[in-house]
Amino acid sequence: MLVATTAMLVFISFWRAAAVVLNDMGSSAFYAGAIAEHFIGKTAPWFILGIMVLSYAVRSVYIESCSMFVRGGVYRVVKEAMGSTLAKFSVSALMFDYILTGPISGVSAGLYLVGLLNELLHYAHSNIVLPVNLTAAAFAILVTIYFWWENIKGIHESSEKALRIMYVTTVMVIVMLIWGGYTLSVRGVHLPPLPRLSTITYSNDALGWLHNTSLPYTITLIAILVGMGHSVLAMSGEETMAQVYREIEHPKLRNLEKAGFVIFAYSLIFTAGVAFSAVMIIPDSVRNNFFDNPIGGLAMYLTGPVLVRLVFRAFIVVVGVLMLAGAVNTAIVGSNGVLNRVSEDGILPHWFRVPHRRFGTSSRILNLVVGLQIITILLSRGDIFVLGEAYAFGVMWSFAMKGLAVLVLRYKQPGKREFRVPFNLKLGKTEIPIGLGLVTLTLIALCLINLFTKRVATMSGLTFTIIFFAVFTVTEKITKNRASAHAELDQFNLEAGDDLTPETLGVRPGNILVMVRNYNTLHNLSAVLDRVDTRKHDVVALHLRFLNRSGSGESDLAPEQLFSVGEQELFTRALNLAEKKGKTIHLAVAAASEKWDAVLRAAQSLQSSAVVLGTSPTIPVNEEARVAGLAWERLADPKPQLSLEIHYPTGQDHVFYLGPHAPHLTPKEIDLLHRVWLELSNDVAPEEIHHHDVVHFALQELQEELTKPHRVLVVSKLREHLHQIKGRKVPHA
Amino acid sequence: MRNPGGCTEFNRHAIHESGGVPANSNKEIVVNVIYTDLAGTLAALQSAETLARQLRARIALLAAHTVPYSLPVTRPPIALEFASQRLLALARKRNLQTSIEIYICRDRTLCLLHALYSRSLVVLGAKKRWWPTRDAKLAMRLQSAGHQIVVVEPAA
Repeated sequence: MLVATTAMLVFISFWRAAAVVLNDMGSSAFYAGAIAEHFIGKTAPWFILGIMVLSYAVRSVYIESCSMFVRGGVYRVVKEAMGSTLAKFSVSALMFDYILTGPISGVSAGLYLVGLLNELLHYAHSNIVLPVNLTAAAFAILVTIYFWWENIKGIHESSEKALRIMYVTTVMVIVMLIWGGYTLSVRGVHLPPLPRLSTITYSNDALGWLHNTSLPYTITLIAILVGMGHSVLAMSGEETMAQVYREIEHPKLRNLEKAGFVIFAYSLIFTAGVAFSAVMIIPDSVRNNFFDNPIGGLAMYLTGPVLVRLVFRAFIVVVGVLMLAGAVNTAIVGSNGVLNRVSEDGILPHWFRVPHRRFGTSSRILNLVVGLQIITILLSRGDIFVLGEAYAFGVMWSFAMKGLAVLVLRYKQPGKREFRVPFNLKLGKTEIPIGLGLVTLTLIALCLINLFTKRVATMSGLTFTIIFFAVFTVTEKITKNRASAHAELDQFNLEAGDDLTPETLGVRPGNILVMVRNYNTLHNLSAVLDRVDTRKHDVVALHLRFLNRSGSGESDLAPEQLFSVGEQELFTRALNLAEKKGKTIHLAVAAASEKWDAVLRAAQSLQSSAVVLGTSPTIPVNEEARVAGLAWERLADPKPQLSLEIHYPTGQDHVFYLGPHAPHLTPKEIDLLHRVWLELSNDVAPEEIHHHDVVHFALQELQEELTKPHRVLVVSKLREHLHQIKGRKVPHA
Repeated sequence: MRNPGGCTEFNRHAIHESGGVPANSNKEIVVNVIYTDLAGTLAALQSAETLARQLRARIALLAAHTVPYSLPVTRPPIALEFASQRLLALARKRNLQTSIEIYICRDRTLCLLHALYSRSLVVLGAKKRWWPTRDAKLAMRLQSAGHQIVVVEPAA
């Protein structure tokens, strides 16, 4: 029985990519503004706005890292830039972020729900009042357990769902903005006070270890940093962008930039819009009652009948629960993914990855993650402010490490990038990345200020990070020898077949066959992917494994014989290249004993329209083309019309045509043809004559000349002509 | 030809191994069974067996596993070894000679739409419910794409 495994990657539009990221990021709008206001008072919306602008800058750091690593999350980028130790630290901080995302989202969803229930009970003249934090914590635990079970079973999820949730959320945001705008037009607009030393009012728990110093009260920069530090929750979820990048359609980086802008614009309107509207619409005297569900409170203070406001609030709760519960799931899936990745890298015992007996999922990692999340919910007792404070630790350190890593890579790998964070100064050969430096500096400054102002975050974050870091380090030492040396490589499964046909490969006739040989010389594949629209023409990357003549044909080769680690590396690189360009490729490997026979037979059976190779280090291009032509003659009938492209690493290429084909005429040749046509059209008038008639006539005349006794003279003139134009022949660039 | 509709682009990580020699492509009839759950798939296999006998067709068991965006598509939450063993066990249980195709993807419907040849015969096992279930929605989508769908209800 044959079992074949295929990974199908559907490239997504920037809209869909933005929806996936916003699903994760947008959830923070439900709590970030209110948490910030709890700590720093009425100036909070300005800080949220500042954080949204900073998040746009951080997004450009992510875009630069994505331009270097298609699969570049924090762990990969930091490891590449600063080594394994700091990568372990970063991944520990990221894990803290993920572990906290679940509880904060679950508790926030619970708070919205319990807020509405209590409001409804109040309007129903009931004396029952649900304990807010306790009910929210219970709800968060239920949601976490539900998603734990879904993940244990192997969850089914699609970007379609993310898009639908974003549609509903957009409806809510639009209604809120229009209704809020109307309310403000009726009551008058009173913007929150601009942040100054005099206007920032710190809560008792806002300054942590700086509480007894005068710094936040006397130095504006410190005050601004404290305010920003309490608002950073608004920009969580950036890591999702690095995960989604791999699947964005061509042109990949431009689409990522577009997605980044959509995310920025949407979150600016949503997150900052909620923060400003809450301060401007909910009266100061009651606003602190709604710090745990600000959008719910906002709905209740809009202008309009109570019943309509209650309906809108219920709608907000539905949207909030959908989005926040989705974030709980993302946190579980994300933690599972990160821990699986580090386990594959040998810094977490393989024991964690043992599949569940019934469902085949990594249940031990899921149990660990969900266990930690439930403990967190219990310890917080449903207090969103405690959770928010702690959450900021993981968010900020993982961003700061990422920024630092990208900055280090500017000097460690100074080569060309498709995207650079703007504002770079060039002094001689040295580049000074002002923009990237400023973003990294701001992130590090926020991390440092948070270390002093957020006691809970510092203590819990450091404890968690140290424990995870220690576990990673010890495990790495133990499993060093056993770790997979090829963890970075993709896993491929051989789908054995007797032949290479369009049906077996799932490609359309007219496809482009690209021969791949060495993972360092994939420039031919790169050139093809740059040029070809894979929605119209399929691209097949074929690797030939040459067999000794004595060994070939005696017995079938086992897949593992045919597919070596070198080939795994080759296909991983080919796939990375295709993903980077957002194009599809089809991979194939075939046994061969003679290069050109195998290449052309593959092209014939795949009904390819072109064969693309890189230059050979030993055989000149013209010689390759000649041998290819001889092999083409040996093909069984009907022989295909093929173009043969040989690419140089410099970007130049030579194109040869195998079999009858329409010649490519130079502008000079076309001009000559046109002039002859003009002259003849006057002479033969009123007969109608076309350019192709001129060509046809000339060829017939030439053919006749070649049969006459002065054939030698004609050939000699042709030779002279070829000699004359030799220096003018330019390879196709 | 496989149906490219519904899929903007796709990427196959499967490596096709071949001697490079074309063979005669015989257009055999294939009864495609889509994995839904254990009970549903067993019932679908049973029906497919009867259909295959009548049509002198081959049975192909297809399973599409969705991978969340937070994980690389090549690292599904379900261990592939486990998934293939589960399908092999199902096929063996009915003593069937079938090919098994496991797809790992982001979207089950899009993936199956791409994996199936146009106008395929598809058998799908799913419990009937009064609300549109995931499997019922899949059946409807495949049907609207031109495939012939047989929905089998597993025994209670």
